[in-house]
Amino acid sequence: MSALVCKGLQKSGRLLATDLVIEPGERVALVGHNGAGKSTLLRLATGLLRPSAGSVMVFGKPVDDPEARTDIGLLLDRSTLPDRMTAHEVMAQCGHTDAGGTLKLLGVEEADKAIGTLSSGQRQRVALALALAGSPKLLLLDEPLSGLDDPGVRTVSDVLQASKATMLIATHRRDTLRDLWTRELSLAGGRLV
Amino acid sequence: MRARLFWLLLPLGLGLVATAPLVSALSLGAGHRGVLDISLTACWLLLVGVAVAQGTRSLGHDLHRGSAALFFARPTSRASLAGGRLAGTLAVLALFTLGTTTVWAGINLGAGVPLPSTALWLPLMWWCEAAVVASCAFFLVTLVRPLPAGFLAMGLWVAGHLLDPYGQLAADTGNASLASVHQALSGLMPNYGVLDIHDAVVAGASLDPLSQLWAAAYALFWVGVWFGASVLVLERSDVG
Repeated sequence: MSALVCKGLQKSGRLLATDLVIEPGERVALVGHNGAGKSTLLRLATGLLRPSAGSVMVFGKPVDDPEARTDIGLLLDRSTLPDRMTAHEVMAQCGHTDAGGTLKLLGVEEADKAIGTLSSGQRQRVALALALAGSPKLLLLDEPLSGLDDPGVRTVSDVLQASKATMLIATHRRDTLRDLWTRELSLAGGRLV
Repeated sequence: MRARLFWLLLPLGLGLVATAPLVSALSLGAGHRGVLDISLTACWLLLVGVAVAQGTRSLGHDLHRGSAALFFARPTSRASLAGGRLAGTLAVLALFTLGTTTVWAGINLGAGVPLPSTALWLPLMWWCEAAVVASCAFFLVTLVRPLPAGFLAMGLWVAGHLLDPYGQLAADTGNASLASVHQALSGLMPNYGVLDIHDAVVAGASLDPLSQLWAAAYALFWVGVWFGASVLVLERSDVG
């Protein structure tokens, strides 16, 4: 059973990555210029955006099925973390009551401070920890290295290398993560090229 | 509850209520009724403002600022996300209603104004009205951004309070067109006049308990209507 299958996806009349199939264990890079449709494709793959046509299946279940999303770890391109909550509180709210280890692994130093007071790099680490918590089978990561300094990039690269999850990673930094993925897909104008 | 807005509204509300005896002293001849009337109106407007703000903020943040993605990391459906947000909103409004009613009663008792027995219905009716306003704003924020949704909800609240006077005008003039427009509007928007017991409280008039319970049921019906409409829209729209 494939980890992710996108078929004939359209959004607002625009065709997106006609037939994308990712098998379990694959680590796929999604590269492309700004506006190529990488983030849109990731959001469609999580069910946040409704396609005007086509379907998305996650491990054999339609992504509309809430149960299908238990298998997904999600990191979006812009931080969606609530400013007034701490990292621990956000983790608990998302059902990860024992996520201290993940936060520590990613180098989140001030998990008891309000997220709004953290640096952009620390916020990114919290967002990544949220995506990785609960050991999801499929990781959908949009620009995972955004806002990170060099040590942060190394930490995240190591953590992703060690992960057993299937991954679809949208990124501009092809060189930094080149060793991580097993396949590279280029997106232009919403289509795989 | 951590939102800055609430802590800004708190002193504003207390200030509004505290000025009631002062304004009453200036309203010659009004006496106790003036204190009751002005403090009631101040509390009522404050509560409606909180209802609009809370109604637009709760789901508005998820839809327009991207925090819905947090919940989509869990097996959460759009309907349960909306249900949780609305339930939270109604619970916050219940706390505010109790707080506002307590402050209102304290100010009146402090000013030596005896509270009429009908005031016991105030928390329920205020909460019902706030719940309908908030759920209306909640629905509107699924269609437009929070600020216009808030203004639209306020507009519908004002229009909903004018339904009864408008119906009276239609009846008095015998104008069939006005009457049919009134009938159509009554089906499309909640009649907030049904929940308004301010005049009865100020006048110390008695209230029929059965009518009040029907009014509460009417409010819950409209909460259900707005919530159902919100879910219908959410199921078909993008979030985050």
